[in-house]
This record gives sequence, C-alpha cells and structure tokens, in this order.
Amino acid sequence: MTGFANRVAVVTGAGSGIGRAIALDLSQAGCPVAILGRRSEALDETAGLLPAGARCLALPADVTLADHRAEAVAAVLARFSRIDILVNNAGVSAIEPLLSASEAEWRRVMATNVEAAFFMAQAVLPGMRAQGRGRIVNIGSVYGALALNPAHYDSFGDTGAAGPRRQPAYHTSKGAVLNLTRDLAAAVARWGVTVNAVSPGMVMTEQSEGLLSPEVERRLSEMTPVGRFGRPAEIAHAVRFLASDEAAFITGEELRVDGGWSIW
Amino acid sequence: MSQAAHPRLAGEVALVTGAARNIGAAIALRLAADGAAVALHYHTGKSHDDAEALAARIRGAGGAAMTVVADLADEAAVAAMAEAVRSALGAPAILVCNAAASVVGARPWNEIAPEEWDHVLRANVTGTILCLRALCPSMQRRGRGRVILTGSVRSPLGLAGNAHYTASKSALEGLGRVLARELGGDGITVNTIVIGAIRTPAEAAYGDPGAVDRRLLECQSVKRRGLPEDVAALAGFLASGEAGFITGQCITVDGGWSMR
Repeated sequence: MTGFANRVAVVTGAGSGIGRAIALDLSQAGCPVAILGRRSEALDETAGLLPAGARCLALPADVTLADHRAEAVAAVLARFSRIDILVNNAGVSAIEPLLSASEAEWRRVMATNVEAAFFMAQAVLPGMRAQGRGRIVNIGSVYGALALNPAHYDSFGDTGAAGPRRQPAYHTSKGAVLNLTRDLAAAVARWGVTVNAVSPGMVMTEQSEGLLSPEVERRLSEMTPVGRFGRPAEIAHAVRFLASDEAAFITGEELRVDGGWSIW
Repeated sequence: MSQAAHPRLAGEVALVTGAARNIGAAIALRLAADGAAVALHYHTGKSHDDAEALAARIRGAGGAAMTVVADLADEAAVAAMAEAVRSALGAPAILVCNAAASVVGARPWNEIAPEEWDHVLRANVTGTILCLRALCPSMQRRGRGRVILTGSVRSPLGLAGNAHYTASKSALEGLGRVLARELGGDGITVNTIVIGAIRTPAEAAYGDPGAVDRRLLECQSVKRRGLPEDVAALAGFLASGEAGFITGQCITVDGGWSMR
C-alpha cells in the first residue's frame, strides 16, 4: 500500500481513540494530515504522537457548525493545497433511559454523526471532483445494522419507570451513516471518488476503558470469534486500505472490523 | 513486480487455488509481491503451461513459487496437494480458495440438469471444504492463519440465470461465517471476497465485448471495468497482519454495483 506520500488526509474527531489512531496511521504512511477535534489540547497530544517530520495541521473545530467546517476546510487547502482523503470519524453517543430520552441529545448525536459527515463530504467534494480523485471513509458501527441485544449485553441497566437505558440516537445515526455511504458512493463515483464505511465492533479505546464492567468485557470477548477486543490501530489499517489507490473498485461498501462479533 | 523494502508477507506461505489465470493469478502475483512463497494450484493439464509461466514470472522477480495440480473435488488429491506444498514450501498460513467450476451463459434454473448441480456444488463447495480440511489443521496448530473464500455479486443481486453457480457461491458466504466462529479461537480469520464483474477472457461467451462493457458500466457506480488486480488488492490486505480483527465478513469488490 504505497502512494500516500502527497495524499492529504483530513480526520475528524482526531483528538482521541480511533480518530487519533487513524491520523497516526495515515501520517506514518506518508500523508500530510489535518486533524480536527473540539479540544485543542487533545489535538496537540495527537500531533505529538506523529512521526518526526510529519506534516500535520491541528484545527480545533466543532464539525457540527457550518462556519467551523468551512474555516477548517479552507485552512487545510491553504496549507496543503488539496484534500485527497476525508475520514468522517467524529462521533458522539447519548445513553439515556428510553422513555425519557431527550430531543436535545437526539439532535446532538445526529448533528455530529450524520449531518457533519455529509456536510464535511460536501465541503471537500468540489476539490476531489476537480482532482478527479478522492477517498471518503465514514466510521460506522456494527450497531449501524444490528440491534443491541439485551440478552447479550445488558450493561446499561433498567431504570424501571423510564425504561431501559439505551442509545437509540447513536444506533439510528450509524444506520444513517451506512446508507449515506452508499448513496454518496453512487453519486460521486463519476468524479473518481469512492465512499466506504469502516464499522468497528468492540474496540478498546481510552474512552471505553472502564466504561464496561470486567464481567461485561469478558462476555463480549467470549462472544467475539477472535476472542478479544479490537485495537484502534486495527480500525485504522482498514481505513488506510480503503483510502489507498488500490481500493479504487471498492465503493459503497461497509467493511466491518469486529473480530467476527457481528455474525451472531 | 515491485518488492517493498519490508514486504508484509515475508516468510509466509500461501496456497492459491485456481491460480493459473485471471483473478487467481492476480492474487498469487500480489501475495508474491508482498513477500509470500506461493503455491499455484491448477485443475487440469490444460492450465499447466499458464501455471508454470506464472511460477517462472514470480521466481524471475525474486519470489518463491511452485505449481500443484489437483482435482479439488477429490479428497485424496487435495491431501496430496497439501503435502506437496508443505514439503516444498512449508505449511501455508494463507489459503485463498479461488478455484471454481466456471459457468457461462445464463440458463434458467429449471434447465440445469441435476448432474450439473451436483458437479458445480461439488467443485465449488465441497472442493473448498476439502481444501480447508487439508490446510487448516496446521494453521490451528500454529495458532495463526488466513482463509479467503471467493463469493460472487450474483448472490446479493440474485441475478437471473445459472442458479447452481450462485447457490454454490452463496453457500461459501455462510460457510465463511461459520468457520470464522469455529476457527477464531485458533487465530485464523476467514473472510469472503464477494467479486463483481471482473474483465476476463471468459466474457467472450456473453457476446460483443463493447456491449458487455456498456451493460455493466450502466450497473456499476465506478465507470470502468473491474480488473483482477482490484480483487488481488483486497486479498493482499486480508492476508496481511493488519487485518487480524477482520473475520466472518463478506467484502464486496464490485465498483459500487450491489451497494448492499
């Protein structure tokens, strides 16, 4: 997988976890990377992990805001002149009792996971169209196409009156990301742009560490055919493959990186 | 064939079935370019020269390759093939089941004789299982392996015609998921590449190449024909150490045709 040397990548949500791993992986492959995230100190930490001499532009931005998106894309173009790869990784979740889940949280999740992904794509596509080449990789989830089965995974508990604690907006948003991926793919293939999704399964990041009880972590590992959680770098490798020149005939596809977890 | 400074499959042994031509040959070349020693399986004597030429090409580029002939529907022949590869190159940790009974034309389901069903199912499904039976135990002992099966976009699309071929390829998708679960604990990943319309000489059976191209490009989002190298690129990734958390998947390479 060569040919990344002058491919400029934009990674959203790059201040932690999977986004940080993607930025690091693409940078190691030779890409100049623009890293976006809300917390500038987290972006600085990511930048500090990149290889010596790596070309990196850290852009504190909230991708749910149109002016932040526009400013960030303009800044990337000003610095690197082009954008070849967009990784829509920024994502949030809301775990709330089902019967009292709020509209505000629903909208926050949709704004970040769905709307920002589309409008970031919209912002970079004119340049990709002019280049006749581009790669967009959206980070989905195994929960984009599967219900979270409480028989297997009831760690969020039940509040009684307000029902079980769930994350309906997150699961809905990831389903939307998958079909956004297919719909965009069909639309922009004519410009030499592919659009694919990488759907992580159980991946241990600094955010998820400690979120699950050891018992639930053990059960989830047992349910995973490879017998363990994934590492952020393993998601990043799949993103890099789909972002490579040699994946030109793959588009509109979801690549699950989940250790076989989703085949139950 | 360019050799990377630190090829990602250096020290690995791969067996690619149906490797004499087209997609199988491209996969073999790719794995060899990534540093693997490659065993090239072919089915009958008429593929002998192509397989030998491919092996010579790989060796000429500094790689290691051998050829093996076997009828994959014959258990003893498959066992002998596995033994020949083990003694010449070592036990393969990478198995690409690409061989398939090729079926051209588009006959309706009720014009396919039961004997033809048996033949295609035996070659494509039983042949794959026999390869797995012969090759996976050594992977299990070492706690490491990559199995790549080849499906067809005919399964998700349900294209009319040649139901026996489509049924055989659909069987492999289910087989891959089961084996991913059964072999996951042994460090073996099992994935199926769902292959779209790849330009091969066999297409001549479908008539004027220009008309075939036009028909397919109307269906695909990507407005160029698929090439064997497109499939080989994904096979190379799935065979690599970087894909250790990908298993039980059906991954489509079809230029955005099926979009499922």
